[in-house]
Amino acid sequence: MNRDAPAWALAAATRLLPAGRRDWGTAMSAELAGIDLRPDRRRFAAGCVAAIVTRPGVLLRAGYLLAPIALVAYVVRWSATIGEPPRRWGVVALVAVLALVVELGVIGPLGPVGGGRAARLVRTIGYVLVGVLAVEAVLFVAGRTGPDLGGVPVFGVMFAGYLAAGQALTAQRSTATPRALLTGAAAGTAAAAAWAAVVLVAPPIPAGPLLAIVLIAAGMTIAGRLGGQVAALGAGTTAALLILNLVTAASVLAPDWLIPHLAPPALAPATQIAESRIELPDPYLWLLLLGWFVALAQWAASSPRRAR
Amino acid sequence: MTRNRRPSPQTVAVLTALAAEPSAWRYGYELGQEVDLKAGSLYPILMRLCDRGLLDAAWETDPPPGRPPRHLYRLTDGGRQFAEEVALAPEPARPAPLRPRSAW
Repeated sequence: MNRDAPAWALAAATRLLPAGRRDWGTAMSAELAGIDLRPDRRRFAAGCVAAIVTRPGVLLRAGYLLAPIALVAYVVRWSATIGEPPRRWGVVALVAVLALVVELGVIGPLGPVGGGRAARLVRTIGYVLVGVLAVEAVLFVAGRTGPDLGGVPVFGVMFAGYLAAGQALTAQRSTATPRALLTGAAAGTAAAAAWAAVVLVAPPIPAGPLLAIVLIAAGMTIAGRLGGQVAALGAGTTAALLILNLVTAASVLAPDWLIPHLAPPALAPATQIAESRIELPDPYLWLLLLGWFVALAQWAASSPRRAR
Repeated sequence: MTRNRRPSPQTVAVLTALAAEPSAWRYGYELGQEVDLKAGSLYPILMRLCDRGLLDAAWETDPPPGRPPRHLYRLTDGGRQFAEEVALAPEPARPAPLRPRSAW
């Protein structure tokens, strides 16, 4: 096939089409291959590219591609308020890595998202859960004093792993069925809801993640029986992220009676509660690590090379 | 499934051209030249007609060496019926909107 500029432009535009529409791009390229005169080739390819890039689905996809870039640009600008350059650029690097992973879920090996509602719903839930934690991490790092990176590399690896695993699970090429996706999300949510219920019935919030781990394991077991291995792993990552989100939110917003006493008792009650709120999320970072390993297993389990 | 609104003049032109030889498979570039439509207008119309079940699409089975197979189009039975209805319907006083519904 003649790979001149019109052919190249048309092939590039075709990649923007949703998978179900890519045949049309192939059809246009086949027509172009039958056109000999260069002006005619240019005109035909320009028309085809215009037809492709003005489709609502393609415009939406372009929005998905540009949104992470816009976010990084915003963070570069906003991070000027961070006094220490190493931390400033650490924050920018963290957001840039996560934005890159999101891009890989649009046009890269982790994308595009599967066509069904289940895949879109589960991917959106994953983005929200990781996104909230990432914002909290960025604000935490930005608010520290001193030049150290404050855990940026760890946060980057953790959140990127969760994002990539969620994208692999919900990609078009994923082996996960809609039933497995929904079962995993529902069981993970149920496990987190059970944890919240226990906390509310028998306050305060446990000082460690043991109860959460037990309930996550129970959720994974139930999801595995109902929806198989991928559902079990999906339940694990969903529950871990949800509970960690609940803990971080509770550490700021929950009434005092929900906050365990984690600071030395010699402190004044108000100071002790304030210190305990600061300490509360730390033990639950183990959940982030455990869930990360589950997420990696989920990534492997939903990879198409495992399909037989 | 058909809609009540009269299709755009460009869509009518494509339907008319396809209905002239309903059993013949046509390809996009030739069709565009016949109805004087550029690719940017023609392909969205073909996509919509396919989506609505009015157009059959198939890949050319024996392309000449060195050229990839073309995508070929012809009207379905429903497409022929729709083309007849459109041909018999009176022209609207004002042109209808050109893009009543997105292709995807």
